[in-house]
Amino acid sequence: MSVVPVFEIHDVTFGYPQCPVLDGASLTLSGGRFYGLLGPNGCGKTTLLDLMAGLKQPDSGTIAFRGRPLGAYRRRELAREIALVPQNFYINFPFTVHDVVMMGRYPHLPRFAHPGADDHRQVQNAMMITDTVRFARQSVTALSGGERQRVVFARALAQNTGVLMLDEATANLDIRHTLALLGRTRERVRNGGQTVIAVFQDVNLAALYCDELLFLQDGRIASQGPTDKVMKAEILQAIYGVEGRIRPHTEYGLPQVDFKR
Amino acid sequence: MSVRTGLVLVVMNTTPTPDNPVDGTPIPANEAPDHHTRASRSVCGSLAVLGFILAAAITAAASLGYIRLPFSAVLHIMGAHLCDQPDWLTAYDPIWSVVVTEVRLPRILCSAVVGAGLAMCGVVFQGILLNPLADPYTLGVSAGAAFGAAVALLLNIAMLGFFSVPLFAFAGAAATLFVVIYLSSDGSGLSSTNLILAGIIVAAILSAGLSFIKYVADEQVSVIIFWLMGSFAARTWTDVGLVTMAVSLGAAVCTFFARDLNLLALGERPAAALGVDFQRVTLVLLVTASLVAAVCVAVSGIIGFVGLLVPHLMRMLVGPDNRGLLPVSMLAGALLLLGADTLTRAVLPQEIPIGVLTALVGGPFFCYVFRKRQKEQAL
Repeated sequence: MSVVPVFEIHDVTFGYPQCPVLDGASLTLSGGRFYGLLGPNGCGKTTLLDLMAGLKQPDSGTIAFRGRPLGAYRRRELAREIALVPQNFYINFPFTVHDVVMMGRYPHLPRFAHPGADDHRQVQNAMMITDTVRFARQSVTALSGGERQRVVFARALAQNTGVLMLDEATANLDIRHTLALLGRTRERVRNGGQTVIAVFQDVNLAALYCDELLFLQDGRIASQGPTDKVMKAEILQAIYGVEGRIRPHTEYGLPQVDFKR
Repeated sequence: MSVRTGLVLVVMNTTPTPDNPVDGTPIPANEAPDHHTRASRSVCGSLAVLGFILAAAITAAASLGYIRLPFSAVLHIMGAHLCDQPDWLTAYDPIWSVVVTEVRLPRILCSAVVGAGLAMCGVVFQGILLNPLADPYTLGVSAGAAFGAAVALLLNIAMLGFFSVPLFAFAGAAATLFVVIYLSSDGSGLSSTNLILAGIIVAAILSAGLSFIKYVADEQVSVIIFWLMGSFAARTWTDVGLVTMAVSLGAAVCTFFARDLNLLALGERPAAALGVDFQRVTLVLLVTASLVAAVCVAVSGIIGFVGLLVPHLMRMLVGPDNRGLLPVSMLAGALLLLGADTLTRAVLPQEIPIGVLTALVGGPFFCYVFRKRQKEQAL
């Protein structure tokens, strides 16, 4: 693992002057870790991901990716480094599931090239992991929301990037697929040195998988650190305004929270 | 993906599910599916078949008409001109050669190339606007062209000779395009909803203007109406050259961006995350397709339904991948418009405007296809 941080974000602002979405957010993320991005609705989680993926430009502040300013990368270059699983996904044309997953290989393939054996293997592997092989030749327009989300997850896996961003990527999935996908993602972080930045609504789920948690509030990073250090009742109270009690997970000893009604 | 018979019809031959896919045991490389080769085979097959039919249709169309020429004579005459062998012509009446090369072929090729151009624009517009019901005229190109042509006809503008009306039509279409793009671009760029809305608004204004022109036009009104309904009558090699140049340039640009067009279908954020410069690609394709449509309209008048119908049908045949859909649609569009023009020119007892014919035949057919698709989707 390199010593250069994957992301160095310094004093980034974004949004309208009257209602800034991000207001001086700064953070440093190092490689090979699973980060959980948490915070109340509308606090700028998705915007922060978009800025980090280079999909939006910050109004002020700097973002460096692997030591180089994000703006110095070409779009396709970034697409070989960063994959994004969006929250909502809608497609109007009857592309087959296989076609959509194969789109994850486009950034690696020259414009007029045919996918090779390796591309097909990666696509097949991504579909196995996401349990979408059985829909391979169906149209994505015919799938349910959760199935479609798994297809998009598969596409991001096929993209085979060093950084994977999950924007509530498991929000529509049943518990079996949620655990399986997060488990596989964690394995890739452990064994493959992948860096994952995942937005979660479920604090307990985040604590179960993430090495570090980042709490975003009012457009700034309110709290950041290893999961067992920042998963505190006071912090949850300050961020979400809810009361809860922290207890160790019965199986793994990781911090979990019991919320008060 | 394999050949399909319905827009969302699921291909039955699904891959068996492995026992525990979630565990994702490594797969041997030779199990990688051959979707891609199958898809390109279906595209190549369609291209070959359509290309053959088109070549046959061009020859057949050249033999049909007021003077019925034998098929073999047409082949001989075309061959003589293509291979520069004037002595092959000696066996035939010299008037035949003139009929084929100077009268019929320009018209035939014009209709085929315009058909290809309109179908290509249809594919691009449907892809960019994320709407399978968009067509080359969605952004008001036809309304702008109609307005421009009507102005030229009303004021009897002849300063540019024979080309006045097409030039005014093209200028009207291009101006409309830029107004629509200006109206729909906000801070974040072009969104398909904005584009469609702006197109509708501008087209509504222009069609009111057109009504006004017709109202004040007196005896010119029939000329205007006739032009608007579209026709390939009396087209020359100049028209063929012009429209061929525009359509080939457009086809080159669209082919270059065909893969990006696939990604645009995912929406702005996913497309950008997969490395597409969304705003730039959208703008380039939009301007290219609209200008090609404008040239087509300028040469032939307003011919509806080709740009809507052909991409739609071909998507059912070869799937939505634009890399295959573009060339297949272009050939099918050429074939369709050539067929329609030959029908009105040589088969029907009275020539009816081609724009009317395509709408009269294409409309109900589209209703049928649309209805069938709804039923399949409901299943």
